[in-house]
Amino acid sequence: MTRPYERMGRYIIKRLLTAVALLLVMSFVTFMLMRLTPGNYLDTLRLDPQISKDTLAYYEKLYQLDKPAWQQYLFWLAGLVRGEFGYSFYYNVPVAKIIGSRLGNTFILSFAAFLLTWMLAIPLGIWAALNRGRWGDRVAQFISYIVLSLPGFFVAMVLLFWASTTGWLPLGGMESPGAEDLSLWARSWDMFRHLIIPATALSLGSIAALQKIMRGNMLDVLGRQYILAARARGLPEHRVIYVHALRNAINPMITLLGYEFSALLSGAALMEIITSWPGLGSLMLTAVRSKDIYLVMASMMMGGVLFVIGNLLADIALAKADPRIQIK
Amino acid sequence: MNEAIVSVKNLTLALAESPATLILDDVSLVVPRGSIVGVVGGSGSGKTTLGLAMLGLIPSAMQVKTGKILWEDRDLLMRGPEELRRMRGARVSMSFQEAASAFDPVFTVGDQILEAMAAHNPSAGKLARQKMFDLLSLVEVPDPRRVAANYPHELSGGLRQRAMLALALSAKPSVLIADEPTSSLDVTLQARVMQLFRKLRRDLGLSIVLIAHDLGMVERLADEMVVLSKGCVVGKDHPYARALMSAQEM
Amino acid sequence: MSEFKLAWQRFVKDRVALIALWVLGILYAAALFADVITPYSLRDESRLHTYCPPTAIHFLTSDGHWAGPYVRGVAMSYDEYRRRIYRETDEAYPLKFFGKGESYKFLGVVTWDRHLLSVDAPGRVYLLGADSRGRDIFSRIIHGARVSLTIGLFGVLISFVLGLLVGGIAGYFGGRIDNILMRMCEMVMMVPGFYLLLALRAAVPDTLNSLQVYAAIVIILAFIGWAGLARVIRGMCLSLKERDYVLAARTMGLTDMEIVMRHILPHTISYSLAAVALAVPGYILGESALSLIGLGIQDPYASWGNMLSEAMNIVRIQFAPWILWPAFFIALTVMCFNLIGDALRDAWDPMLKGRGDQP
Repeated sequence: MTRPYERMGRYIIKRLLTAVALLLVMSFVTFMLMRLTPGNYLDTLRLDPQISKDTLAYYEKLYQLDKPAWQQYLFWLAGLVRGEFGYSFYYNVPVAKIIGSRLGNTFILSFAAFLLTWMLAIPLGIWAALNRGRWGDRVAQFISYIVLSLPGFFVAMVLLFWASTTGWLPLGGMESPGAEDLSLWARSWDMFRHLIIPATALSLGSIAALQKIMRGNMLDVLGRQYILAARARGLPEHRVIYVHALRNAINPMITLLGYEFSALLSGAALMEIITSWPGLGSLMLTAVRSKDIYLVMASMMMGGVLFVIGNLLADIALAKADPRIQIK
Repeated sequence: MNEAIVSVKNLTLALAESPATLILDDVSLVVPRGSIVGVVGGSGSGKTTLGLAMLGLIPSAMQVKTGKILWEDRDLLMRGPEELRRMRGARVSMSFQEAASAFDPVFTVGDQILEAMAAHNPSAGKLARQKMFDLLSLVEVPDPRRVAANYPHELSGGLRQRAMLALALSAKPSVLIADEPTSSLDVTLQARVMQLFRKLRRDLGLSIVLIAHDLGMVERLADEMVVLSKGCVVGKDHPYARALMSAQEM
Repeated sequence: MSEFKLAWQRFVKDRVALIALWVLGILYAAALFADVITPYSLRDESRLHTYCPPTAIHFLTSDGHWAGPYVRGVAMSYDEYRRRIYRETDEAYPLKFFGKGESYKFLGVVTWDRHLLSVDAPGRVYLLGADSRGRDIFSRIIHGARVSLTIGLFGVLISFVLGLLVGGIAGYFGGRIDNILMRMCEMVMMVPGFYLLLALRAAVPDTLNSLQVYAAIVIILAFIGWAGLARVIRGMCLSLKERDYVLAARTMGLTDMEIVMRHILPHTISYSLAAVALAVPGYILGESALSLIGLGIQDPYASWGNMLSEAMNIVRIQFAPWILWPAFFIALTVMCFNLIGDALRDAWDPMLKGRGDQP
């Protein structure tokens, strides 16, 4: 049976090619917009008396800032192919130097929130569906509704405030000062403690939303004939629910995986800014504020790439989980 | 005639929310061992509900007002859920109108049959696979190995219908409740399924409760039959039964 | 339009949704009449009242006689940790209803100077407390509602028109056009929203005035949001165009455009309303996030997001928790839109009731 894998391979390649094309268009639009609007980072440098005219001229030449915008874009693109992201004027280092660790940090935060969301939302949704209409379900649905309406940044603020009054958790950042000297274990523990607030604030809304959807799917599936049929042939109730109903109720959730991942990435950016988590989002904010064009471009491309990977994994997972899905 | 293997005595079912609305009204039915009993009725006559009730699967929106459902002289309404569960499939089993919706779409046909076998006979082990192939052959599935490896949606309608019969028979029940076994099939396939039912009765000693709206088909196959109309059993001379008959002849 | 009428009848039966509709109505009315309702204007500040707590309203004099509603003056001092302490003084300032205050242009046309609630200077009334510059948080929330409540509506409106156009065309014509348009939507949906938000914001020049920034935010939010609505509408069109009456219209020789305008669009309205109501919270949250991190509406103009930026310094929450009030209003508005959207969707398709699916 090699055919499905071949089909899958072709599908993945097709998706990746589309993704690359889309990223190109996105980057071109952003680049042009940023270039065509007045003000760039060199203007800020020009105001700094400590920086000589020669340095400015050197930068201008190096990054071809005197050339038309489309040439600059091609120049940037050519650099990208060689693995060069350009130069950050704000941090005064090549973009590649900073972006790697930031990408990793964002991944840690998003992944933690992702795990937390799915590990809580799925069981909660199942439980609510099995207890539909009882007071436990009603309370859960009511709380979900309220949580869904709370902005994530507000939750983060309240949690930070709570941490400041109790002193139980660190107030933002990713590591305590001096964490480099700790043992690996102590350092991980320290990072874990820093992770709790942003990850909780980030996942709370998604948990509320996903458990609602999971509950709906589960109720839908429990009313299907194949569940009745499974009971009619005397399968134990736990198999009816946790094998047949669950598998079918989870499948549509897998389609949401991709969107959920993108929403998490998006939310993570804001959460990073509020809890000073040194990730891609807070980097992008700095870049945007200082009009540091190559840093903006690189952050956005990285965000896009993370999203493409997330979506692709979700597609593959869906194809694996549901035999009825035919990959085009 | 043989002794009754399953019988329904004066069963009255009502909606839980409005007990005045009767779904089944004083229905009685006897299934002798090794016979084919037909239950005929239009849509909404309560015939599928009756079939489910004989498995002890009374929909949660309904409640039993009066009556008994006897499996070998013991009222199943008096039995605990676990005991009922073990008897379902192993003593009395049911096949459904739409084979496509009676299979769980995300498991292969073979896995589902093996699962049903294991639920009632966990110790079967390696023999189970062979038993499954035998069972599929018994219901005249041409290439059992291929069909077992397929997902339900990959099978043709007729094949899926027979695979579902195999699924219902996987724990060797003595009674099969077949809900509209032919209504989704074309005429040639209908005839084959009817022959298959005769063969199953002959070879396995299976008792069959044939639920259908097609009076002519039931008459040809069944030893006895009842006609249901709006939840009540009506006689053969009842205008409703006659209407069903004449509709058939047209 | 009996389909629409039936849906509406089901909607008004939903008590909770009706309450939500009322709450939103009151909030929007307050935004419209903000100048009259608020005691103070956007630019009003008092450095002597930094983080003044909510003002108590008294009815009795200190010896227990009825005196009508009045507020007391406050005196600020510092404790040993240099924290501000506010203490009520004996000066009494009666609350005036429709008393004279700062003049403004009522609804932008007529000059007027009456305020629903005010006290004479130097007394000050802070219903919900004061911010770092002694500005009345209540007044700023009502003024800020003009930004926070409308930005979502305008954003959704633009998205919706775009979405209707793109989704309608894609769903109706199908085939190649559908394919190209949906690829376009995917492209927009592909980049995580907040990064796109930041990137587009980076492309907006710094020299814009506040109105232009407002417009820029609306356009940016609309640009991010239209693709999602377009996909929803496309899905609806695909299912609608197979219905009998559309086929009937076609056999009667109506042109494609006529079919879209007369038959497909009206039938999508009630469903679209639900999609729109459920989309608005995203825009409101987007604006507040942008303003919160200082890239949106700038001081002295108020939006609920930029008011909350004071709470970014969490120490302040400890001694002035009332700076979190704008978050309450954001949550309230978002919840109302969600409730109405859910009720509209259930009314449109009662089969979905109790299912938690997105449209």
